[in-house]
Amino acid sequence: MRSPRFALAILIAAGVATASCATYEPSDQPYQKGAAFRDADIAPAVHPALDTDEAGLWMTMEEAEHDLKTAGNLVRDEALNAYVKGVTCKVAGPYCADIRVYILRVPDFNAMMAPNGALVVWTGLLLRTRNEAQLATILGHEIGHYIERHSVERWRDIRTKTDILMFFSIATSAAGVGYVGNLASIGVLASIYAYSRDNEREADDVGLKIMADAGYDPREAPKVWARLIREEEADEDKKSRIVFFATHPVPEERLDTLKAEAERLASTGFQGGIGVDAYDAAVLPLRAAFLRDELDLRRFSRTEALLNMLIEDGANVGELQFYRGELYRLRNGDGDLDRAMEAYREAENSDGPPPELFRSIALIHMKKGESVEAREAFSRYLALKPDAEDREMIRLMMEPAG
Amino acid sequence: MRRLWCVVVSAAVAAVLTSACATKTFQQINTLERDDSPLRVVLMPLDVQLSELTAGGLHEPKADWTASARVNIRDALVEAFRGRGAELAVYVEGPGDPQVRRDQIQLAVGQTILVHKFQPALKLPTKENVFDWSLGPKVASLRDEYDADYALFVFVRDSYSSGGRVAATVLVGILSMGRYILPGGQQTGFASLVDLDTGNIVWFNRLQRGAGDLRTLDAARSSVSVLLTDFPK
Repeated sequence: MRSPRFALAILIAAGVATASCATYEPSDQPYQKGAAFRDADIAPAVHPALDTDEAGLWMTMEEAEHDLKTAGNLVRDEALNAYVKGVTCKVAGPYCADIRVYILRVPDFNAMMAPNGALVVWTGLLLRTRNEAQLATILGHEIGHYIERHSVERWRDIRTKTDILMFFSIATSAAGVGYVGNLASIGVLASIYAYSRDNEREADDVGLKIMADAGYDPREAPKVWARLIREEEADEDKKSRIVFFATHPVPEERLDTLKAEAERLASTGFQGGIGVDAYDAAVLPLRAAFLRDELDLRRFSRTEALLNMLIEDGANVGELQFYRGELYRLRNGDGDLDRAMEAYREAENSDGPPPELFRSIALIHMKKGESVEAREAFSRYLALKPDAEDREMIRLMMEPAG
Repeated sequence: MRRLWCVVVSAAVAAVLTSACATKTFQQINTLERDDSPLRVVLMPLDVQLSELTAGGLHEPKADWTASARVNIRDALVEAFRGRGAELAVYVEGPGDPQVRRDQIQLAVGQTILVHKFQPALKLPTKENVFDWSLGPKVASLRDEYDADYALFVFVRDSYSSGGRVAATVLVGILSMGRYILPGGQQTGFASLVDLDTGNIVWFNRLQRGAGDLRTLDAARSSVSVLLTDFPK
């Protein structure tokens, strides 16, 4: 049995070697404008040759992109699309024409880059980034995946590892040492996963450089993660882990690395913009819909933390307080109706509460049996929104009982 | 490694089961309605993808093979229809096309038919002796645009074993003394003919072969003739 075991040891060694040589280390070179693009793996406007594995990946993605164009949850708002596309172009520089942006209405924080340059941004992300520099951080990260050609790198890595695994399984089965084979397959699977995390580290690094190149303040980058960590820590039920974290390096590690890198960039005397007004002008008109989607997930503790952070930022606080009230009214636990009413009062005294505020106030009065106050709030709702879709039902509810 | 053998065995069993019935056709009608003018059929954009089966069992999509297969299948279909005295008009994609939606509906309906008509365990009681799937009447716009009576949709996925896969197959065969066979490349797909007046699928055929090569015109002709088995006369 000696020789099969020897062969096995070599195979394990080979597996470990391929797994560990892929680690990405950010360079400690001083910041140089345009360096990330100069070192990129693919040149602008380049399509892979038809007989390559990369062309195969592009082909598959092009078909998926057809479906994306007609997706029911594709956000078609022209102003928002033009804005996100514009920021993407600023960050992508010479690669602007290679990247196509699709905004999907999904209430979670995520963005994805396909090998052929199709970039998907979820609305849950736009709800959570708070200025153009933070949005540029994520877009830069995704563009980093594109210019470093991570998809094809990862595909080749997975193909090599599954090939090794196949021959390895045959060898171990023949040698009658199946359990070692199982352990090794776990090792290979873990390294496939770890490899993608190295890609993420590299994309973080490239993203930070190109957002800074585009004139954004790199110190905004770690703030994105800090806010996500704060939101996740507030999650009492721990059942809704942020999707983006699942495949990415531990957020704390990422936060620290980004913070250090951003400070290093900033210490070279780099001055960058943040871009709050343009961001708010594009995102705020649609934010109510994004907040409604978020509430529909019924993950109240997380959403509460998110709303509190947004209220601290202070844009359209009336709208945010209204949705905080909605959260308590929907959760309907001990004391929640009072909390809701308190939030609604805050909303009334702040900027931009929607007319629906008074409908919600009326509903709480009804629950408490305060019919006079309920009628009064309902009529305020109808006065503010005379063509409301539910006006007939509201009038019916306003009629005295009996 | 019991699990590997288990996977290998079940895959082999599946391969044997599926290859036993190479094609199976479901027809709603036997004869196309024809008037004096020659029959015109629109060939919708081919949903074809070729891939290489790696040693580890992954499918690697191949853009160059796919591009030539699309041309070969189209040419073979045009020939086959000409041989039947019918004319095949190739659909031309334009900007702002509703084509994508149509493809999605066709794919969803086609896959439903494959699952619920071809898998005995998954047959639907309400569809026991009927074949009434439809893409809906909106396809009528195609009838006017192409002056055609029917539309032909073709979906094919074809895979070829890589050198590594062949080596693995041989190794498994030798080590198991022929008891287990690693599945190799497969040609699967379906074709459906849609009546452009009603949107109803009037003919449907499944393609399932362990052999064949769509990368050359000659071999594509043979696959197309299998695909068109029992095509209404």
